Amino acid sequence: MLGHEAHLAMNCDDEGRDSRSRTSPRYILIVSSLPRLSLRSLRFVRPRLPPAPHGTLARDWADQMLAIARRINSSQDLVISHYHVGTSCVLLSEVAAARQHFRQAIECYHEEDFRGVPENHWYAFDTFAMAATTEWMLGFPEQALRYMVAARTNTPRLNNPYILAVSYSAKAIRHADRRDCARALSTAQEAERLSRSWVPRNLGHKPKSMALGREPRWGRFSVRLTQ
Amino acid sequence: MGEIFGAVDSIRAGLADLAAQKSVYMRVIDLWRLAETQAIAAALDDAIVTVEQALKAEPHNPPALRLRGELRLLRDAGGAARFELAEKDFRKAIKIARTISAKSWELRATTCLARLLRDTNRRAEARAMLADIYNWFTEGFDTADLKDAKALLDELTT
Repeated sequence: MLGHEAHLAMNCDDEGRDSRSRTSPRYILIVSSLPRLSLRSLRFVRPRLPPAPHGTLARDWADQMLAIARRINSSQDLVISHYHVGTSCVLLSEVAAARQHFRQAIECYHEEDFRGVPENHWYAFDTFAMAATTEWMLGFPEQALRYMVAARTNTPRLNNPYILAVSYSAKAIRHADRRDCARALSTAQEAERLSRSWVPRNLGHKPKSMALGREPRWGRFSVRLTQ
Repeated sequence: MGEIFGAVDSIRAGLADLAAQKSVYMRVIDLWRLAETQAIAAALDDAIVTVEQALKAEPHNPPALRLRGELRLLRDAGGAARFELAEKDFRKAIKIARTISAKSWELRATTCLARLLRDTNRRAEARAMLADIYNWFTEGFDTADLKDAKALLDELTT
């Protein structure tokens, strides 16, 4: 992809041969947009990499995205790049490093950067959700809950029903991890209601099963498995 | 109980969706959640098969190791050897959780191991290791995991 973008610039240079000077406005426009074009290419490919055995490759590409985002100094691209480095770190079990990247992504987050761009809605939600996951894993359940609440409160303003349903599902899973059965169940039921007809079937069922399984009424199985 | 069976079916359907998309992302997590749900539905043999699948895909997954240890204890089969195997799973889960600083997973696995140690007359070791991880935490003392750990710690102290 990077090669393709470079080729694009070279063609342009050829096209404008009579004004081939590197000071020509078109040349400058194309060259200056290269980092952003490369970033978009990487963004397209990076999330589609399977986690194993390509975790290290995913991390390398995510690092490249971050370097480009830093160069063009765009808050939106910084959020997205930090998110991808963070998720790559999670895939490589580098949870503490992942936490730093999610925190930096949140520091750069401005809602207006994401609201009107449907392709970016996922980042507006999952940056906070992944931050919650890593905080929980690292032993900070209250901070995890704060991030999850932020993820849930951001999503209705995005006006994206899929992300809204996913956000309920993710929040229900977080409550279930805390073994807060009542909240987990009601949130899971909301996820189920929102996603009944058009998203993967287990979006509501999975957290619901986790919530139900943690209820004391299931006797010794529930008690042992969740302790 | 019907709800739990419904949940088992739903997670299984979700896994089939993931397999159809050739997606491995989340598969291991979904597998151990399926195993947990199967166990709650009293399908312990199915749960063991599922958790083994999860561990085949990711042999160093602490929650899956902890769950396999718990399932070994829940099953009546295996005699006294099941305690040894469960202990091995719990210790491995703890070791890996420590390597990646996953304190929540370490707490859960340590609580399981401490309970096993208590039941096999090794209370001092149980108390020491549980106190270590419990005292590391600075927040979340109203969560069920920390409440359980505290209750067990109190029991081991008296």
